[in-house]
Amino acid sequence: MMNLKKIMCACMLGLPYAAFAQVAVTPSEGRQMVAEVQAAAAKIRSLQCEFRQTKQLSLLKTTMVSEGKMYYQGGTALRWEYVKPYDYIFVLSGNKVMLKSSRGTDVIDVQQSRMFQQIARIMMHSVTGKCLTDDEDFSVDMFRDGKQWVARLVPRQKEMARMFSCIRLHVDPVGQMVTSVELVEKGGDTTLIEMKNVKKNVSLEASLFQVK
Amino acid sequence: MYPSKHLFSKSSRHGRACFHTLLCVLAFLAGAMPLSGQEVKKYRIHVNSPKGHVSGICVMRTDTAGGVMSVVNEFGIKAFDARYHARGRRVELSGLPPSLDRRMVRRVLATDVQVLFAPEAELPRRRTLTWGEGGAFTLYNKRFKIEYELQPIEDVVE
Repeated sequence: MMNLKKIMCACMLGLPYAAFAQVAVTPSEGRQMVAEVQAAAAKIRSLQCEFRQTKQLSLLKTTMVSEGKMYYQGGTALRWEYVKPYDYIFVLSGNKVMLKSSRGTDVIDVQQSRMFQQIARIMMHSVTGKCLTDDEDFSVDMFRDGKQWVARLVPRQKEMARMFSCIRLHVDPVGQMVTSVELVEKGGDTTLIEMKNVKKNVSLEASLFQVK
Repeated sequence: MYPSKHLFSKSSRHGRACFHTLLCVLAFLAGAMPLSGQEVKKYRIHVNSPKGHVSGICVMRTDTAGGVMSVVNEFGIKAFDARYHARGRRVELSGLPPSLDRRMVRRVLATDVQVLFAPEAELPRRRTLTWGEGGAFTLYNKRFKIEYELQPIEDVVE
């Protein structure tokens, strides 16, 4: 009976570790993973996908879900369009950012705001995984999580570090594409952006990225 | 429904007292408990002021004792949290960015947010409230010319 109790205790103590899926990889494995993602990112001229954004609000113990479409053009332009439950468009093109809602349109010069510059750069690089080598912006650790790779990015810049504890990119090693981005805020809230119906290197209308 | 005769005998005076106490407690609970406890509401929020305008999403959970609120931008990045205590109509703000985390700003914002939690209640001084369609409402702070427009939004169906 005592032996059975000991076995049960050992099993219960071991369960949390068995359930913990993310496994840190060695530095060399991590560098290999990053290199593969970068090589794939270099081949992306354009990207189009749908996304689902789930915001966990820790204080309210509830979630906020929104959906939309994303268009990316070769490192120069990004369109992030929310379709439901609200309409909102963010277009980054060169040094200009356009914010458009049912109430009107604002055009902002990214050069005038360091914070906006950082956000714009991170958004552009996150969708392809290029941010894994943004040493200036993040320290990066790589993990395996089942069949996926997970990159844990911890902000180095003061403004970003004030807002986010870390950002996690989930990468499909087969397609070598970012499948989801998880933003973990300092206060405990998280935002998960899942990308689906991803189309690479399709022709995109220039009008999608017009700032007006 | 009523206990059998033997419970009213002298020997079961204690049992009768317990039964009556239980009846009183059940009656109190049936009358006092609200049918639904807390309500979650989600709004699109636009804030217009002489210095510019911002927009985002306001999510609040309220009950008879008060409520909690989170205001985020469309990307889900937190602007601030608020806790409301109905008794005394007190608001506690947290998570404010440095640009808003100043005494005067906190005081004005807390008073305005108090109205957002309970728009049907008496308004603080120098504020007006107008109702739109479908539960939309607009609060205007006349002194600082700040307008808060709230438009209900539906949940995305899974």
